Amino acid sequence: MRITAETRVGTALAADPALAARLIAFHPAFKRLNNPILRRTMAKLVTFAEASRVAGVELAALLAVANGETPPAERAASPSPAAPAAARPDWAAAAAEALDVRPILAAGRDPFREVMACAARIGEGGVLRLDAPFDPAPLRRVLAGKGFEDYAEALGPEHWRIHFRRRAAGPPPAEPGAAKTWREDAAAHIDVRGLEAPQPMLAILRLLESADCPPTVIVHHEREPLFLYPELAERGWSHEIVPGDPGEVRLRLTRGRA
Amino acid sequence: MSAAGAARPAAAGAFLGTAKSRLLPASIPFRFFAAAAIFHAVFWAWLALAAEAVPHFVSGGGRVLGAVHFLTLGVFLAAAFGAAFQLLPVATKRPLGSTWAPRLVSWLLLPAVPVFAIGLSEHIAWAAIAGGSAAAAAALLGAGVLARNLAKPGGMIAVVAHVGLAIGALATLAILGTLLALDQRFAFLPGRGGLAAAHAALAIYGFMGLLALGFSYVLIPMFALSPAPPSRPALASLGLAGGGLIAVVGGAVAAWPPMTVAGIAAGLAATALHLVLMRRALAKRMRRKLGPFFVLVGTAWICLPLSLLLAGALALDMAIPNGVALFGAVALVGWLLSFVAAIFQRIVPFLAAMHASGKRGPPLVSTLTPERTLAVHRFAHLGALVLLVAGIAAGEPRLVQAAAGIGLAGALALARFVFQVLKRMQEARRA
Repeated sequence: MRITAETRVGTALAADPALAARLIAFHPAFKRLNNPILRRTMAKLVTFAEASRVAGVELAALLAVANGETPPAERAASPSPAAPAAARPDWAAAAAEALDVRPILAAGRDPFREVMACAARIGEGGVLRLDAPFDPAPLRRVLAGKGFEDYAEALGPEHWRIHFRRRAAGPPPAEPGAAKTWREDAAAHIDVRGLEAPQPMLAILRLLESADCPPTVIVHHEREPLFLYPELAERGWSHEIVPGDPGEVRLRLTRGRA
Repeated sequence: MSAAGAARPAAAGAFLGTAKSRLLPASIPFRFFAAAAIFHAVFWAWLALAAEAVPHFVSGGGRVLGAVHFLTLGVFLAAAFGAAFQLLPVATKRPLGSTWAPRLVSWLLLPAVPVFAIGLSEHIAWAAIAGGSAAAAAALLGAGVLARNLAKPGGMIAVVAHVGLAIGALATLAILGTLLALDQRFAFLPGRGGLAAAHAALAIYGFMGLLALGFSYVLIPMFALSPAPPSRPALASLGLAGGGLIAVVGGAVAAWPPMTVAGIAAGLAATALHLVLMRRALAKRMRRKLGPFFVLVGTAWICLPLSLLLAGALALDMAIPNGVALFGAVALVGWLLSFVAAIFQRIVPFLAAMHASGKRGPPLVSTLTPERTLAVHRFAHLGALVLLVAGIAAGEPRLVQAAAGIGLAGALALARFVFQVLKRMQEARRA
C-alpha cells in the first residue's frame, strides 16, 4: 500500500510488519510502537501526519521511510519546523482534576476509559490535567468534540502535560465561522462537532466558497451530513468517508466531481 | 470517488453508527409523499363536487367535510409523517429504529383516508367510524414512533419541543376525532359543536401548525443556507402558541369566547415572534436567490396571521360573510397547503438525491427537479387560492368550482412532479 499523510499508522503496520523496525530506526520516538497497548490503540488512530508532529520530524522524510523509498539511516530525521508555541492560558494554572496515564501505559493497559471517565466528571469551566509520555493528538480531538479546549506543553523528552478545560455550555454559535478550522498538509480541516444543524453545513459551505480554499477539505463531524451531499454535488465537490476517531465521522471533500 | 468511502477501523466503525443508518428505505417516506400528492388532487376534485355547499359551510357532515379530511388526513398528515419520520432523527441525532412501525402507519392511514372521507361525505356511518378509527390508530401509532425518537434528544431543542407538543395535539385530536365520528352515529356527546371546534383547532394550529413552525426552524435555514434562529425566542414563541392553543381549546369546549379570544391573541403574538425570527435568519442567508418555492412560503406566512385574525373575528361574533368557510380557506389552503407544497417541492428531490447516491455521489438536485411542472403547480395553487377566497366571500359557488378546477390542475402538476422525481431517482440509481 502507498502510505500518505492521512494513512493510519496502525493500518500501515498491519499491511507491512517490517514497517515498525524502519520507523524505530528512523527516529527513537517510534520506540513506542514496541508497546503493545499503544500499537493496538493509538497507532490505529494516529495518522502519519500526526505522528510526524508528535515525533517532531519532517513529514516528507517520514513518508519516504515508511514507503521504503529511502533507508531510515539515509534520511536525517531533521526536526520539523516547530510551530510557534501558543501562549499559556490563565486557566491552565487553575486547580484541576489530575490524571497521569504514564504508569497505566507502562503497565500495558489502555488508559482511554479512565481518561473518558475523568473527563465526564469535569463540569463547565472545570479543568482536567493529563500527564502522558507523548502528545495524544487523537485524544485531544476526541475531547474537543466533547466540548473541551486544551493546551499542551512538553515538560520533558517523555513527558507531556495537557490541560483540558470544558467550555461553558450555551446556545450554539450563531455564526458558521465558529467552527474550528486549520490547515494541515495542503488540506483545510474543519471541525463542526458540537454545532447544531444547519450550522455544520453552513460552516463547511462557507469554507468551500472561500477564495483560498484548497482543493481538499477534511471535515470532522459527529454524524454523516446527508443533507450536505446534494449541496456539494451542486458546487462540484465529491466526498468520501475516511477513517476517523471514535465517535467521529470524517469526510474528505475534493473539488471536482468523480 | 465513492460516496460509501474507504474501510474504517472496526472499533471506530462499530462506534460510529453513522447517520447512513438514519436514512430510511426510500419506499417509506415516498409512499407517504406519493399518497399526499394523490389525495391533494382528490381534495380539489371533491371540493368541485361540493362547490355549491362551500361558501355557506359552517359545520356538519357532507362533501365539504369530506373534502376537508381528504386534505387534512390525506395530504397534511401523510406528508407530515413522510417528512417527520425522515427528518426528526436528524434533529434528535437518534435513528428511528425498526421500520415496521412507519410501514404500519402507512398501511393504516392511507386506505383509511378515502373510507373516512367518503363516509363523512355520503353519511355512511360505518365507513366514517371504521375509517376514522383506522386513521386515529395510525395517528396515535405515528405519534408514538415520533415521541419515542424524542426521548433524550441530542440537540435542536426548539424543534424537538415543537414536535413534542405537536405530537400531544395529534394524540388528543385523534381521540376527539374518533369520538366525533362515533357521535355522528350514536349521538352521545354533549356540546358536540365545541368539541368539533376544539378538534379543528388542535388539527390546524396544534398538530400541523406546531409541526410547521417547529420544522421551519431547521428546514428554512437549510434551504436558504442561513443560521438557525436562536433557541430561546423560538421556545418563547412555542410557549405563547402552546398556551394560546390550550386557551382556544378550553374556550371552545367550555363555550366561553373570552378564553378563545385570549388564546387567539397569544397565537398572534407567537406568530409575530416566529416570523421575526424567520426574517432575521433569512437576512443572513448564503443563498442569495431563494427560488420560486419561497413564493409559496411567503404566501403561507401571510395567511397564518390572517387566519388567526379571522378566527378572532368569528370568536367575537363579528359579521363576516361566510366567515367559517373563509377561515377554512385561508387557514387550510392559504397557510397550511401553501407551506406543505413549498416544503414538498424542496424535500422530495433532496431526499431523492440522497437515495440515488451511488458510486459517483448524489445526482444534482437540479437535475432531479422538473422546474416547469412546479411552475404550473405554483401558479395554479395561487390562482385557486385567490378564486376560492373570492368565491366564498361573494357567496358564489361557480367561482369556488373554478377555483377547484384550477387547484386540481395544480395538484395534478404536483403529482406529476413527485412521479417524475421518483422516475429520475430510479434512473440515477441504475446509472
